[in-house]
Amino acid sequence: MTEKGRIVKMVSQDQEEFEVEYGVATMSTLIANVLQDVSEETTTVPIPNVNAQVLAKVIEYCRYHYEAKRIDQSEEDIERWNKDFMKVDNKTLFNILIAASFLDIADLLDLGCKTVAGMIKDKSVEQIRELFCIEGDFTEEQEAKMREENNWGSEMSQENNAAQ
Amino acid sequence: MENLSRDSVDNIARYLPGKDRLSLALCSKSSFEGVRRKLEFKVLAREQPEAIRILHKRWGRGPGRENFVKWMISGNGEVVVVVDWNFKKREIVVDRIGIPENKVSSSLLIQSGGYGGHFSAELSYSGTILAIVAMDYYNEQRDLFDLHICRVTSSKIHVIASHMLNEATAEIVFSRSEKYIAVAAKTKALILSSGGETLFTKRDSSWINLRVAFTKREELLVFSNDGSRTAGRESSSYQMRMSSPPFDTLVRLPSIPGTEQGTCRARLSSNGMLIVYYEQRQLYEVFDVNAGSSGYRSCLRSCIDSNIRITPFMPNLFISYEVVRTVQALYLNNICVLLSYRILLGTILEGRQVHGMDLFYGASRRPQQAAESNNT
Repeated sequence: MTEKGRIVKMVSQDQEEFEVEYGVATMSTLIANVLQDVSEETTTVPIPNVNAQVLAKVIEYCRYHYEAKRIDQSEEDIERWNKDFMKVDNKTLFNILIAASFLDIADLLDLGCKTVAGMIKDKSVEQIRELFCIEGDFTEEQEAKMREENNWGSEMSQENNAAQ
Repeated sequence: MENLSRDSVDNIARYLPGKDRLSLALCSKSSFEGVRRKLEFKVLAREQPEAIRILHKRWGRGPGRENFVKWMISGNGEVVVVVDWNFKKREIVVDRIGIPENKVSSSLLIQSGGYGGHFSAELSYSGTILAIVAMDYYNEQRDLFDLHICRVTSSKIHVIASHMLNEATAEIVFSRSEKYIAVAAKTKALILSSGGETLFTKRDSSWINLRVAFTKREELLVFSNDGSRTAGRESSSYQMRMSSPPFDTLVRLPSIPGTEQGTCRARLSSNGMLIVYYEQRQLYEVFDVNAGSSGYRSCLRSCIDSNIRITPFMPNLFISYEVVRTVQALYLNNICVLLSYRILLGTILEGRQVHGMDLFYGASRRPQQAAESNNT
């Protein structure tokens, strides 16, 4: 079978199956490596760490970018699409990041990281904790020591906090 | 967030400026572990000393020998700005290169370069504000300078303010928050806001070897020799002055101990450290000017080579003891290569200890040197 017509079946953690074109599936380095190591007859790749909802999003990303590359889509269009694609709730965003990291899709991982970084920018420690439901586990002394050790950044953060 | 791998958090930190990196690091121990390596450019410089090698291509016209080029890197190490003064064409070309993308992301052409003789530029810590000085050409007079304040982003560089100065500029310094920009001309100190608006100007014709800096609390420090400019001689009177926001007065601080004993050179660091080099005694002394604003706390005294420099963004990395090869950009067939250099840095830790550090930035050799060694 030629790789062009080859279909790969991706099975999510909750056993949902997704049929994906070979070129789209191999945008994941992990899947590309798996498919290289098995015979051509093998079409099913289990993705045990990613649930159906997230896997569907990841496939949507890969499909769009595969096609965008094929038709030489403009950078502006791609950027606009990426922005819309990342308009998801925090839980989904982090699950996409974890899936991108597991499936080794560098561009998606970068896009996710950039989105998270954009959400963090100019926020205080408390605001970041609240936004991402992080429980602080530093003692006051440890926090003060860290601020002192990195005094350049800490003074600016303190000023920002005071301003807010 | 807590479930993200360390690499993912490290990747997120890549897109954050220093202060936001620290905020993320302080959220929890696991986020700290992810951000730790990205927290300090200093750490990167130490652990990855081969750090910077940039290929800078300029399309269009080729730069000639009349060009002067200055490379600047932002405090977080993520933005490189190349300013290229072409005095013959009276043009200044500014290119912003994103790191690690290593590509020119935005450019600016300013058609106000002068006939030559003087050029200067500084980039702010975050890499978003650039101050450029070039000789003005409108009047074809010497000693008239355009000072341009530019906003630098990944998509655009634009001039937000321009001022004309009638004296050569010695130094441009940004305050830590980047709210203020201090400019030291021959006999004049001025402060601009980050938007380029003039907030303070003070001129004194007796000032020689003027140095300006901001303290941790964003006060302006002005160090000068109050000599006789007409006689062209420095006197034994070295003065330190200070101005606090909103910068309506300039107050004289007590004399710096030891400066009355002969010629000295001073450098002011961005965290209010004053390094004085006493030429006759071949001795340098480091003072903390922030110790009460009204005096100086001597932190360190040592014999050293006279080549004192302070890294603007890493205030406790303060001196280049020895520059084996200076940083320079070389144009070859329109390709500009940042040549390697070797530098020794001294560190002040808690105002007492000094650690020497031997850093290599890049390992490339000059092409002709490589060719020579290949021939032998």
